[in-house]
Amino acid sequence: MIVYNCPLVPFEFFHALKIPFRRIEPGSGEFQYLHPNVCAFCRTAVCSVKPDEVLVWTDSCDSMRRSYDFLKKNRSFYLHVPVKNDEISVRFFARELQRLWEFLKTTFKREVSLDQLEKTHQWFVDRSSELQRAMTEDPYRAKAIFEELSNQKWIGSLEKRGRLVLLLGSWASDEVVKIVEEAGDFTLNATCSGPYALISDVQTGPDVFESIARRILNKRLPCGRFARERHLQSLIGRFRPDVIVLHTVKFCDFYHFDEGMLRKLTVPFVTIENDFTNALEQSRTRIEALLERVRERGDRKNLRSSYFIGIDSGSTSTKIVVLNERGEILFEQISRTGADPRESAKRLMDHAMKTLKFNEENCFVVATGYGRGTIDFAHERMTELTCHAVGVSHLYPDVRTIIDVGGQDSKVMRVEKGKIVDFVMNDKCAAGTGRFLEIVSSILEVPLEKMGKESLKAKQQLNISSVCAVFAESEIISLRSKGYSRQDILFAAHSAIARRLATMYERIKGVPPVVLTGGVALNEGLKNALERLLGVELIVPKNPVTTGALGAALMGLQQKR
Amino acid sequence: MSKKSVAYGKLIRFFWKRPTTARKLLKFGVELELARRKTVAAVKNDFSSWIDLSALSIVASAFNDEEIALVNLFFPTEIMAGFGLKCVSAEGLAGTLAAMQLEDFALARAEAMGVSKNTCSFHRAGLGLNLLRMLRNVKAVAVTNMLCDGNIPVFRTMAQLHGVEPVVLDVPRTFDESGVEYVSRQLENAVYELENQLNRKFDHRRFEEQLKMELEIFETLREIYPKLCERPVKLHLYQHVNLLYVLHVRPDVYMLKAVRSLRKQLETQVEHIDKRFFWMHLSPYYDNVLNEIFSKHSRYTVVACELSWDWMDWKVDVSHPFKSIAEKLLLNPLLSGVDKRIQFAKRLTLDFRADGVIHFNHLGCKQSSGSVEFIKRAFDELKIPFLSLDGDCVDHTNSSAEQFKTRVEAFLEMIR
Repeated sequence: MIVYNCPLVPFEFFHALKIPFRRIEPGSGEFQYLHPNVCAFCRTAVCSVKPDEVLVWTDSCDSMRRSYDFLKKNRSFYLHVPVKNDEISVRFFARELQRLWEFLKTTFKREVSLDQLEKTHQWFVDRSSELQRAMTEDPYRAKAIFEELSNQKWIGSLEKRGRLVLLLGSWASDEVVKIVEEAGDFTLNATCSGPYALISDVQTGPDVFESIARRILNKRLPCGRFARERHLQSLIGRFRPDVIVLHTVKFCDFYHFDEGMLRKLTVPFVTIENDFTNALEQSRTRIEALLERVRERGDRKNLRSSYFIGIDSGSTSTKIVVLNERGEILFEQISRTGADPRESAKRLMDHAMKTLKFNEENCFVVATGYGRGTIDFAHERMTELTCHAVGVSHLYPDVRTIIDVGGQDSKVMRVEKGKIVDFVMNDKCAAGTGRFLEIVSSILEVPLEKMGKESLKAKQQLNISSVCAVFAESEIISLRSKGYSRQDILFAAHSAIARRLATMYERIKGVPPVVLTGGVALNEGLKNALERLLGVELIVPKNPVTTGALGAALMGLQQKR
Repeated sequence: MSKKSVAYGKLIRFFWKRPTTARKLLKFGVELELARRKTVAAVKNDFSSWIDLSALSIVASAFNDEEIALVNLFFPTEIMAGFGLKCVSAEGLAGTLAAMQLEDFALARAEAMGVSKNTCSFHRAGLGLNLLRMLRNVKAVAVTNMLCDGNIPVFRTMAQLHGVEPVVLDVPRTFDESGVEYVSRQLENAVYELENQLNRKFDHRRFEEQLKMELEIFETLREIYPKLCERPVKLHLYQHVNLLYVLHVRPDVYMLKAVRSLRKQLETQVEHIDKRFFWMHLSPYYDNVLNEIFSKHSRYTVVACELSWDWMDWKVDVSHPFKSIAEKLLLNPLLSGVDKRIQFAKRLTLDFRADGVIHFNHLGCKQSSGSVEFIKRAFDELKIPFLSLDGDCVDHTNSSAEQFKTRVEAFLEMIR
């Protein structure tokens, strides 16, 4: 069995020699000897290689090179694929391919003529042209051709429905596609795990190895490692997607550069970073928020409900808002989420029903927040991004930017007329979130609610350089041991978190008026630090914690005829 | 990397929202420091003073309106000499910002265009500086994928910003005839591309002069290597970074003076060194606890840094310049599998009689830290203490001084 690591390999060789082949795939285990700086795809995929398999390993990136160091026991061929596709590179690559051809023939003891290889190459070229046509005309046929040529599993469904989501970037698994499909939409996988990885502008010539070299180097959508620019415009022009999901892998150096190009286009997009830890919840929120952004608000329904409930199940607290048919707030409450998000939400719901004396048949529930999936009694679910945009725009119709700092994550959204036009979320760490302030509060033994005020009493401007909770902890302890006052240290901590949020604000090109929401909005120290950095005055709603739940309730109300 | 740089950085920080003023202040500060270093080097005439001067003179080119070529650390800069362009590396500029603790502006700018926070901060900050329009007279952008493939999209983006076509050099991982021919043909082609782009002829004489200078620099180093191993000169840790930077980006007349003075120093001076260390990969360029622990005045001395000696298997051949440069790149011991790198690291460690080895895993550099496990095993077999240290050479918020201190001190206690 041949194992290859990337589709920049000469598939023609495997077919011509009739040797079974497969591509490495990330699994659930992680290879502990590869440093954590190495891309997560490689760290897990390297575990899938068996000792008796023959490797055709391209040096497609630094992580792949370092992974190869650990696979020396396998019989293998290390193939350098040039990053350029000029004549000098084609000729060099053709010589490398010829060496690989000889290696495979010797290793597997096969004798196949160059004529036969040429025929197989022509067959591959014809089939990949068919594949390209079939992608728009007949997905079932495209699937069959793709699996035949690459021996990879087709990812995603074949029935076109909903909106077209173009998936770009690094190797994506069916987990990512499932998120789109569960939202009722269709994915076109243009990552290197999809059919587009096999489509090239082919120029055949007298030398079969040069022809194959050209096919690989002249991919229609250049691989992110190539020197030439990735012309995404032609791909986008051809398929006219409704939205784009840019899938990047943590510690992969290539695909996040596409974001700059995508920002110049008009197609809404979102960037997600996958670390293959099976924790795609943040990615789910981002993708769903993107899809909600372009969704036409559905037809109004003949709802009989008189009460419209929004439940925001956040990582720290659960919030409920109940509206009547005129959109007036009848009830709002907050409680800790605890270990069971459904139970906390149910308790709030029961309390609202008891207080306002209505029953389940007479209400329409929209759930939002991280725990939205667990609230089984909700009639609809929306991401907190959309709900915040709707809730805040209801309170401040002129709002253009919303900064929401929650317990587990923070988001900055640019909105127009109540709809999100761009947004960014923090990474999977405490930097720039309420959690960071909780940690600071516990180290300095200052209650969370007093931290902000205390920070404003600072007498000197200290600097905490890191917003990594672990590093910041040691910096704070070090500052305390040097005798600095709590107030000075708190000032520094608030400035550090504000710096992080300011970068996010810049990334989406935020514009005033700016509304600050989330539990942290009540912290005057953070508000002050952010205003200082952004140079704009921030508006804080009377109840900044419930704007998500308010938005969810309003989304329900909007559906009533 | 000094407190002085950080203080000056604070002043520039105050004016950062006015780019023209910030740039002028940056230029003024660099030129003032350059003048100081020139005086120090002329008076002291020792190895470290000339290295410090040489390293800063490269950075100064970026701000004093000379015609520059923006390159990455491993791009063969000799060909740019033939066009009269001064080479400045994006990594060096990032280091300069880090020394003044101003890197956050550049990093945030790159992040704002979508560049991941997990990308090497040398490249992120280098790109950010270009996005901030701090470099004015960039005539060429040139990059090689050698030892880092994240370079390519970074330099492609920088080239777009300066309205030039990037010169890309693709370096395979194996040293053989086919590889040498491939790289030398690309170099010849790069000269042709640059002639068209710059609309000027390539000056072979200047190109050869540069190679002759390198011949003298590297042959002098080779000649004094046995003596240097026996009695190494004391350098601050950050000066090792200066050294490797100069040797890669612009081995110039200052470097020539440095090696000549080193030869003299070795004949006369004997410095007492208590414990010797071999440093692998890079080290943080901002003011940090590692520079204190491994300062010139400490009993713990870094005697050699891997990247200052990665040219050792190469001999300059002025009569076949393109082939010779191709060989330099392909003979780099870090280029191929980890085994070759281990052999090279072992050789230096044993030659310099190091008591311990420290490998600094710069965040985002997969090439360097990817197989650190193998390197550790190799030194374990030799029974030479080995420390693998995680951190960030540019973004000072990505490392913790306390963590560095605890780990390094525990390591030193092992050796003591």
